Amino acid sequence: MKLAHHPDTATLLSLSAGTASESLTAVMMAHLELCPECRRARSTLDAIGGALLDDCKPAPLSFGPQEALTDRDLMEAPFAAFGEPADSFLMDPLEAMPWMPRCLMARLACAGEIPTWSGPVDGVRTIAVQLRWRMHGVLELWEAAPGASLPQQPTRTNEAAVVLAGTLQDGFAQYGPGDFMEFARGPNERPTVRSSEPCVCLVSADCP
Amino acid sequence: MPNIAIRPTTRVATRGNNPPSIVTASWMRQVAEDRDEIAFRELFSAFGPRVKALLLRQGADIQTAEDIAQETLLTVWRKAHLFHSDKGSVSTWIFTIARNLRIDRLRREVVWYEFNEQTHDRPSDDPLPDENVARNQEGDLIQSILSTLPNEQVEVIRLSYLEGLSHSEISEKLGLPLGTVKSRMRLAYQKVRSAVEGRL
Repeated sequence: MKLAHHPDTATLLSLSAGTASESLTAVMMAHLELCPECRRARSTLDAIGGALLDDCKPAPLSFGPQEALTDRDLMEAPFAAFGEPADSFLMDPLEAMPWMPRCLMARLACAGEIPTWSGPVDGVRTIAVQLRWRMHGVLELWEAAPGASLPQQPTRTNEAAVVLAGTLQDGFAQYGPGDFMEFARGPNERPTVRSSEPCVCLVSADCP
Repeated sequence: MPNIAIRPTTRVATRGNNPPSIVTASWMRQVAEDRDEIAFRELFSAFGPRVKALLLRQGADIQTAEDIAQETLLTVWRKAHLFHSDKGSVSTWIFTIARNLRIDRLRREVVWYEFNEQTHDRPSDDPLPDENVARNQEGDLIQSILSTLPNEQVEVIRLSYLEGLSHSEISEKLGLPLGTVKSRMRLAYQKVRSAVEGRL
């Protein structure tokens, strides 16, 4: 799929360097699932990290590989990668959400969270995704009815979203499934649902 | 598995600071295919102290840096079969493992893993067959490109990757507008990308 709207290079760099907030990381990962172009860019950015690691002046370890290898139980223990979905994970609510990004599905499965809509308020239903460190921001799924404008909360900054279903329009462009967007400031610039079906998006924001 | 005896390891000539990527990829292959502990020790010696150094620069205390370095290399041992040299270098793979562990341990945030239609661990952009060697060695190329960038561009890249600073923290540290920081990052990336794509 060729998408029209992508994260800025500097934003992708923050993902690669591991300095992006958890909520923005989630939105970018959902975009990357659908965007080979950004996956390729991220690979190159990761390679910059690898090159800089190579260039680090080594800090001697207080133990050697011998010590690390002697813990047989640790070395051979089955590796349960955090974030990977369990095979049995097929919750009914998700079957009604075919647009759900796999990274978010895995996150909900690991946390044992069953996604449940709240609202609607002014034509918008929401699901709050729990973040481990909530002071950093919020991550929410929004489902907005046709014609509805996405809500604005004054305390939130750096709002970004990936569209998962339907179409949004702001003062600059239209955004379809997979597109990444940063919300402009100002009540008159809020994105509005242009599609005849509801628009679903995953939204991140900072909450200072 | 038998107990491990300490055996002398063969030192390879290093180019720059770390063994060439073709050598580290060979060690990875031996670990993945033969569970070769000698090759693993080479990887451990080459990368463990560098991961520790990276973590120290990013604010970890000595014990945490050593713990993450050890866990990073143990992950390399356990997931060696998931490494594909056609997707990138060993250095890049180990950097991403250490980065994710840092997010989990130092920032206490959830690590978000990428999923796409082809693999759970790596980007899905299949290289053409003649890209494979180049992909594996692009780290060497990137190192040389970084050494040619203007200092102001390298500085923001290093502060981001090595010091773990956010864009706004870099802006504050350098006394520069946020837009300037991002602009320097974009310029640096464009040069790296042009060089990598020119090689592929």
